[in-house]
Amino acid sequence: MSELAAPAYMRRLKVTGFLFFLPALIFLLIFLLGPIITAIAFSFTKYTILSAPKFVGLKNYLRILTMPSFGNSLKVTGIYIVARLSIILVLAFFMAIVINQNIPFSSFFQAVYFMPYVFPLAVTSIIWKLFYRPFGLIEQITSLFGIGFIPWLSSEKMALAGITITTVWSAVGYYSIIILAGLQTIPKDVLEAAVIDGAGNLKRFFSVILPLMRPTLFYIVVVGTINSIRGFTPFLVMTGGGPGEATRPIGLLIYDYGFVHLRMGLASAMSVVTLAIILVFTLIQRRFYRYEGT
Amino acid sequence: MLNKRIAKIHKSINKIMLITVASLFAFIFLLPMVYTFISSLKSIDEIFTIPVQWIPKEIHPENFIEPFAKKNFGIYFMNSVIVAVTVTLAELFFSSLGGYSLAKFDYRGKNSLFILVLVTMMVPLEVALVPLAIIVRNLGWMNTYRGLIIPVMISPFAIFWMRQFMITIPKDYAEAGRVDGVGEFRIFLKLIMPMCQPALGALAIFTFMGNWNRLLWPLIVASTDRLRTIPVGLVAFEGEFFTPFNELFAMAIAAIIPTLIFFLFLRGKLIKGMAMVGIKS
Repeated sequence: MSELAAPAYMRRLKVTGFLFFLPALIFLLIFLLGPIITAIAFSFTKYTILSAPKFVGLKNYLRILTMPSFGNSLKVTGIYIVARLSIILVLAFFMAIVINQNIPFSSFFQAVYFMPYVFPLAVTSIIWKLFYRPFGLIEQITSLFGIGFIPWLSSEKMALAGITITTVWSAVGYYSIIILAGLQTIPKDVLEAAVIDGAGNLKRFFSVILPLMRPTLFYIVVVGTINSIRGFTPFLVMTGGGPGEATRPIGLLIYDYGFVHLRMGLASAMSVVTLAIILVFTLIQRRFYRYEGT
Repeated sequence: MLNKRIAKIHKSINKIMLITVASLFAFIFLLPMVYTFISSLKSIDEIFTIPVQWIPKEIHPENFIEPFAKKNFGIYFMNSVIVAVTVTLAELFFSSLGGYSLAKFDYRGKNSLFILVLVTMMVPLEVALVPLAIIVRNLGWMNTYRGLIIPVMISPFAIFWMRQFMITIPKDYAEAGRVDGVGEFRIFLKLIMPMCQPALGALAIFTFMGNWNRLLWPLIVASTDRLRTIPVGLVAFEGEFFTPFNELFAMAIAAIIPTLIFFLFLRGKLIKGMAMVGIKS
């Protein structure tokens, strides 16, 4: 290749490089960035199926703040996240510690714990809905302890618990594997030193293991929170938000307003608020990982 | 001597206890699956009895056939296969192209494009669902395969994933091809892609599973029975007035078979990969 031809050749290479990205760029603009920007734009309009979008300023956001159903959905989402994550953390930690003790069939146990996570959430939700029916699997188990039928999904008091149990069952194995991976990075001599110090089992857990596991736990809390906000499939399938408003988290509320009541402006404003909440958690996670240097 | 023996006994008791606890957990995870499988083979009268009939009096394998004959489950399965396979192939191709561009070329604006990928990666699809549905409706894609497939065809995560892998491939390979006068697209297809097999394999499995399991988007796009995928068809089947629960259990089993096969054959890799990816799509 001659010296003179080089610049033209380089230019062609640059164009080629960009062309390779072009399909992805068109796609990202039309189906991701476009809709996100449109959602933000819609959030300042009154937009129903009957009329074109009409600019209303901040009215939707003010409306949301005073809407009992929005407040209720935030509460449901909050309770669900806290309950689900604390149960998952305790159980997953316990399971991970047990598997980590060099017991036989350890990889079999790992596989069994992880298995529910690969099932489609729609399928898991449907079979658990059947489990909760009168004479279903759950009543079979509770009746062994002399407890009669509990209206898991049909009473306002129990419905959120019923769904939480299902999603804990579906995901706890996944989180236990993540914790297991974290446990295996703890150097053996650190634990042995604690044994020589005569630290008791519980004390060793709280003063040695738990502090070393902080990055893993933090990751689980952030990712678990984001996933809990996003994933409303079990709510949609198992209760549809009811009874009353007892199981209508924010994702389902947006879905209802956008696709059932067809109040797109209001739904978009709710989306933007939710997006802001999720972004805060994502940024916390990003920042944290930068500090940890991983 | 005695102390040693006591320590040994102590250790084995400890081990037995640990195995018992581990087995108890395994039981909790396996019981619902076993119960679902047994229920899928029962007659409708035997489904909800107290106490539970763990061994069905008669086996009813026709529970797996009836929904295909009476309902459109054959179509649902076909739709799920069409959508999941097409999305997977398209995602592999386009995200590799995009990832290759970001990893191996230098041009103005490349960094902005990479930031675009990172930003859209952080935003969940759910947030943009309303405008996305309006776009798809305006394109006339409601109740079409195009509507089911194209809007979910490329994920920014996949582009990011391929870029991260391709950045580790030495530049010399492409340069050698260029010296030999091979066209840029052929270099990509014949030289670069074969080297990406591990990354492509993992991406293929996750994309297939994610789209096989997807409920929300097909629920919005497909309102006619003809275009329903398996999750949508199952939810509709469950919502009917007189759902034969034994057949519903059977179809639930059928719906998890593809993911179950992946899981059984690629267990170790799958667990590692999913733990790494973090956020379930």
